[in-house]
Amino acid sequence: MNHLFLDNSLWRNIYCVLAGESAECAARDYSSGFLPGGMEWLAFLLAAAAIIGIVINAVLGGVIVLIWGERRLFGRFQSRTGPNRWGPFGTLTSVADAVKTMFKEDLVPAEADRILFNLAPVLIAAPALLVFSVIPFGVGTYVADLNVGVLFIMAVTSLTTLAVLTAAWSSANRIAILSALRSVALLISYEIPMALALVGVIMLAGSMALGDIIAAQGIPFILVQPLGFFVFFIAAMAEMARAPFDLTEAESELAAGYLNDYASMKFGLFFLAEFMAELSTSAIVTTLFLSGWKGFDPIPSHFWFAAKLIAVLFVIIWFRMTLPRLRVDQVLKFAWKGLFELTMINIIVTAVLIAIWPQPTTGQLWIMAAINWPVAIISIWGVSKLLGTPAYENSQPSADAPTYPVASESIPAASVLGADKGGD
Amino acid sequence: MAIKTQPVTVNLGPQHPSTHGVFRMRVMFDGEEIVDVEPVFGYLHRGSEKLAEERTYTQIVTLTDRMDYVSSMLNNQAYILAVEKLAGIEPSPRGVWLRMIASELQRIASHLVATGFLLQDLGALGTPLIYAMRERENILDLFEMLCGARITNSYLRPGGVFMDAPAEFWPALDRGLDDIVNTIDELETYLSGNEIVFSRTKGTAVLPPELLINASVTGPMLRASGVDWDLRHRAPYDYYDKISFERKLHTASDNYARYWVRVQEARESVKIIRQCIEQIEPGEVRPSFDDVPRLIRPPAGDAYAAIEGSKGELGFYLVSDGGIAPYRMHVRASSLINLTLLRDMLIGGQFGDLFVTFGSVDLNMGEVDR
Amino acid sequence: MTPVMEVSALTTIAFWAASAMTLGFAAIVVTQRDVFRAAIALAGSFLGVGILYFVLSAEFVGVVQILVYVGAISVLMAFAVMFIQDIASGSRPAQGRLVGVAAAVLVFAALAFTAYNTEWSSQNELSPDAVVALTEGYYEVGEGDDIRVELTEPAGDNDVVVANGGAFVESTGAVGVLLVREYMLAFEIIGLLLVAALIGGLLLMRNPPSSNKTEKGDASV
Repeated sequence: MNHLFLDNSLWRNIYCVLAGESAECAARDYSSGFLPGGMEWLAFLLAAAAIIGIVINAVLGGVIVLIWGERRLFGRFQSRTGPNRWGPFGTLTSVADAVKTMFKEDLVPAEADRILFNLAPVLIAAPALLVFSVIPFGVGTYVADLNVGVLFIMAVTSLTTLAVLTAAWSSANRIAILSALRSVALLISYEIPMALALVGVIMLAGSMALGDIIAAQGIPFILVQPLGFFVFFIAAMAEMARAPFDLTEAESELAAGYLNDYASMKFGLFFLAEFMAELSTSAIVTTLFLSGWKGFDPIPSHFWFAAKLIAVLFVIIWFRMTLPRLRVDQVLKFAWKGLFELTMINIIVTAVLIAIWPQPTTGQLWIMAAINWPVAIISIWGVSKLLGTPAYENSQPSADAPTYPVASESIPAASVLGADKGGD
Repeated sequence: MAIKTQPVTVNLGPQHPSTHGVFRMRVMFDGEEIVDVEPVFGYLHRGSEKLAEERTYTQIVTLTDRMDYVSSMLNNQAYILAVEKLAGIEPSPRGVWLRMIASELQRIASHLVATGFLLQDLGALGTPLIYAMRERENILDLFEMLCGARITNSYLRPGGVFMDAPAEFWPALDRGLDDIVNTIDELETYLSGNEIVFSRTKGTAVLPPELLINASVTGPMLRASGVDWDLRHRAPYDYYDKISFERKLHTASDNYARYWVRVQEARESVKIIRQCIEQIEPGEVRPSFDDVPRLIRPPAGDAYAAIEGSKGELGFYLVSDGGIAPYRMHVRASSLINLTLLRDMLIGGQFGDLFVTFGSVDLNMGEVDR
Repeated sequence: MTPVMEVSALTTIAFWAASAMTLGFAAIVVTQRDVFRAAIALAGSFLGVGILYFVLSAEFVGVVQILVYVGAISVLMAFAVMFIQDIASGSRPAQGRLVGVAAAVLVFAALAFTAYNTEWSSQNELSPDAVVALTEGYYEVGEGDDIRVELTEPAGDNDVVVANGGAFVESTGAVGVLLVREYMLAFEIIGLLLVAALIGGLLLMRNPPSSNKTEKGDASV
């Protein structure tokens, strides 16, 4: 029943320690298990539960560390210290915040649709966690290696919008609804370049399974697919509504957008989902473009994965810290007129290269990189010329610019330009 | 066939993170487009003008601090000029130079705050704001050396200032000016060339100069439309006639032009301060109490004095009935008058630009509501 | 990757759970008077169908079900509900119930008829060679209704023909191959149709009469 799971060392170790006598494990040096023979179904259930527990808790722990790290980095970017009170270097600040959030009063607006209002935080947190089920964290460390992994990620992340819509609608708040409308516009626009940006990677790897994609990366695909990486990274930032695309939570416009009416741990769940999305996006970028857990030998694969993950997170935080927000129409224009074209160029170029070298070796990947980089630079330059805002032609006034009359003790009202039009 | 949508009215403020104080707008949206705006203000009304009728002329200085609390030195200056005009006080030269230095420093601080908050409204999560505020902090340190206070300075007195600058102020000022120039260079590197900033601000909320003049808008907003109108040049007060400076103009009259004019004016202010430092001479900082007593009793009459504030023409109108307190004080608050064109700027625009435009006016609710 | 589906106790539990989810949410959709809630319940029902596909080892269809139906269509439905105030506030009982009942019965009859008349392959009927071939994951799609499974080892005559195959090993790859080889024309025509629909939608949205824009009104949300 489970022999195909045995590539998964996380699975194998737990399952075979429990049911070592089963036929699948016997060949692999697991002499005896804790459970008697015939109890494989229990071992199966226990192993599944253990893996889910491990991954969920690892992700939640990661979020706690991420929040701390992000706030410390914010401090650095803004030439201040950041949180440094609770625990060494302020590491326990997120824990204190979590406790505070849980003990806050749970408010529900009187006009709210209570069922949907309570459902929305669950709806947003569940897909954010589901993404991690297909990500390989190291050699043989994953929950499931779906053969449609990439598509699964796309499908699951698209569920977030439904949750945002539910949250906005159920809290009966107009600002929240405006935020939800923006969220849908963002989703519809950026889902397409995001999916198309991955087509190049899928073509190179010949598979949608994340394990196969890592295996295919003789050199990291960021070198072979610079355009794909560029588009995917930007689209992913938009997908998780991070600056410069944080239109849904635009603090200076919508206050907190769809979160306006949420308090206590419901708000905490939204917050959690947001950071889990950040974490999962970095994990996906790491897996698809930075060759995942691959590295050189003395250092274990999990550390490679973590190091690459942190590097990607740093770039995301850097973007968030330094860039102002785009306007809705500009964001949509950018997706349809900029990123869409770039993905099309990428797909065509990659398809031609794949036609030449159907199963590229590492050397051929380097040649592809050498071809793809100039294409990427030229096309990004072209798109930026196309979409960039032109500079002012002339910003200095001519001599006959209108002006107030020269100041004197009393200014006759009629001499003020256009004053005869005015009433009083 | 058209898809019919109904406009939605949303209350933005008074408790909104970007209203620069407590301001409320009832905005009607059609999707993202602004159909109608109704500004509601008065939440910060403290009756400063009425309170002034119960204070002596010197005490009122503290009230003016609290009007536009990011440019209190300029408020002080405008008020003191009105008192001097009303009471016929001849200020002492060193006091005038000092208050020019103080007010130009305050202008830089105010423009930095305006720029920082404009970027905050654009959605940059605090970083540009903190860079701007960090430099403002240095200016506030200089103020602390001058008068012991950082925000509500009350530094100026009729006839000059209340205290001479300490010896360590001058080297600190030199260093501070260099820092300011560096910071402005840095801000310009990050912002003026930033595509997002440029694309967000260029061509938004354009106002024709005729409309601005008709609405008696002044200050950087007016100069951003190409109208060469600066009271320091047109109607020099204090010793501005002994100073040469460039008036920075831009013709676009959009949010970017307003931002650009402010940044360039901050540069010019640095030049003005340097000229002040060259020309200042030792002496008394205010007339003796024999000439200007603590309790000033101006003759019955009225006086209006205006300066080029950080936000526009800041004028104080004082009516005296011969007593120790003014009979009536009225403030020509540039923030309030610049706000009158809010509807013209916003209607037809996008929601995303609403608070950017609002920020580009650079208003201060303390001054609007008084 | 995934083996030919084995019917085990866990699969059965998963099947019944997903079925219950699908039908339960579907029941909410028809009984719920609040349209927005109905739309969310419909999303839940779609999700249940997606899980059913996963249980049936059809990952590709399952993921596409989630991507298209839950992620896009439900969102658009909820979106539409937000826009159309009459639907949101009014919970009028459906009109033309008879027509609805008739349509439902007809659709059900058609589905039941098809299901009953299809010869579903069972794993037990496969030849041992075919099972080996399927679980090893080599396949090639041939003509007609047959799926020819080949072992890649060139050891003699190892072509196994599976009659009326319903058991895909790698459904994703098979779907891809079918789409770009056998059903290329249909695929392209559907693409063309969608482009036409897209352009039509754009034309409808272009230049809305400006008279509606300044209409004063207050949408209560």
